[in-house]
Amino acid sequence: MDWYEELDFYDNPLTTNPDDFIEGLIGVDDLQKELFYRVESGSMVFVEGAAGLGKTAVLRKVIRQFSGKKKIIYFDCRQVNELDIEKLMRARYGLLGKLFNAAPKGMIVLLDNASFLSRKNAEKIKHYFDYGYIRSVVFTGERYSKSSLPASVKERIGKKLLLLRRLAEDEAVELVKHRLEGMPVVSDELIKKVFKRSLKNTKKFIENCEKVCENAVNEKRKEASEEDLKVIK
Amino acid sequence: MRAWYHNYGFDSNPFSIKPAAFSDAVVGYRLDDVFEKIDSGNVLFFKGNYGFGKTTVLKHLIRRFGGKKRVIYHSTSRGQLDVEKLLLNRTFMNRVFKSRPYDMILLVDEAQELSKNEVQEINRVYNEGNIKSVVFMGTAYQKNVFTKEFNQALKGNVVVLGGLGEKHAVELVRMRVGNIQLLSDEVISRIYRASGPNPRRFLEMCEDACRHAFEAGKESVDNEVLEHFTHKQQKKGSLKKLEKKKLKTKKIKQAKRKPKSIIVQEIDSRKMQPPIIHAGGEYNLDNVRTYEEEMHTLKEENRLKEEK
Repeated sequence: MDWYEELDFYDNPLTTNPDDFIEGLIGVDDLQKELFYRVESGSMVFVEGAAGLGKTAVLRKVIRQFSGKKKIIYFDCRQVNELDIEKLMRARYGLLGKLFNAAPKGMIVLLDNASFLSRKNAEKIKHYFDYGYIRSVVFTGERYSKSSLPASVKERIGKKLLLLRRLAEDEAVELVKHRLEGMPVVSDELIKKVFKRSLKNTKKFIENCEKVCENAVNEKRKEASEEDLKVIK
Repeated sequence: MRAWYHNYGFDSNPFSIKPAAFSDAVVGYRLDDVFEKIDSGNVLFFKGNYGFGKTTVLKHLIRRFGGKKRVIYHSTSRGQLDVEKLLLNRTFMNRVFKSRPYDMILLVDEAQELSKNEVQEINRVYNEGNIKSVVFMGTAYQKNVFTKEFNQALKGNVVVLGGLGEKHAVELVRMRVGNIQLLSDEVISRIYRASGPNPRRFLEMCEDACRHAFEAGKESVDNEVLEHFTHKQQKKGSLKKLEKKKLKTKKIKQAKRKPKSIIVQEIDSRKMQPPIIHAGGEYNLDNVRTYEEEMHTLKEENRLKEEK
């Protein structure tokens, strides 16, 4: 029996899989508003944030917002196979599109980990963007300045660089409470301590919270205490 | 999701930075001469910084000459240029019989990244008559990359895309959004002065200004919005540089200390200005001087200076 089942949760509430918690994203309201506007109005945007701050989760939000018309292409550039943007665009019209090489208009392209994007592909994307086949492009990456995007693409991004910030302490507490649906497993003080020990990295923080909760439940305590902090290295 | 432009009856962003997204005409450009030159067989080089309208011109060239399978388009950064292959790929018949078409027009984007071999290849096919005209588009014209023959042919055919003039900035906005209440001519001029001659930056700033005004619940972009918005740009832009500059000025204790806002403008305009000597002036092709003329006037100036 998993620890969360003891607490009457069906799924792990402290998961770090971006798919499972899009609703409860905290501390991204401003960024989300800006990002949605940019995607809507048609431009190239770069979302910058260190690993684990929620870049992919933000992209998932965009997918939710704009999905439904088969307009979205999501691609994680870390994958082994290269991005084939033409193929993905043609897939919009299904089999007929493949037969007649129809190119759709106004696609939204989301590229996760854009630092792994090859130059050739970046150039292709620029071309399709210029000719209106692609409405907006969202790149994500850890460092904009270090990404290998060609100058022409960078020029099109211009000042549209969005920074994912680290959570504040209060927001971290709010996050865990929201996830645990108000179950009194961890106290606010303890959450703050865990947050500090995770070096304010959101992903690590949630993982560590999970470890603490798991330990507490396994040792049959109703509330986690200082002792459970040992689990975090 | 509703964006500001939906409230003004636009379905999509009227200030889109996509080249020539909305209209058939390019503001300030007279392309007729260029069309004629290409039609009669010439080598041309369009030189302009990022965002100055190279792709826009290119789009118009394709629209003008495309359709009869006469145009070959190639972007250098997409890979090695193989003229032979591009020529043979034109029609099915060409491919089967390995016959090469004549009188083609070759458009080369991002020409600043061309290698010497590629230019030689183009030159060879050009001499054989398969290609009638070659149009290069690039941010810089490197003489050493081009062959002697091309350098000769390019004399007088290098078109420098200058910046956007103030008059044309207004025209551009009017063409995009019409006589909208949001932007008065005076406001457009002010935005232009903040953005510099780069058309893309200018459009982006127009968009941001409209958006800020709309979000603040105002009917038009007024001074308050502009100030707030240029202030924000400052913050986003070059705060660190500004601080460094401040420190420097403090250290040197220059007598001519300028107010903060002017320093910002200086930094911005320097960034925006194209590397070519041609600055200011109009955005007209007939006013845009060719590279040769440019050099000529430079020489004249130098001569005058020496004489003095």
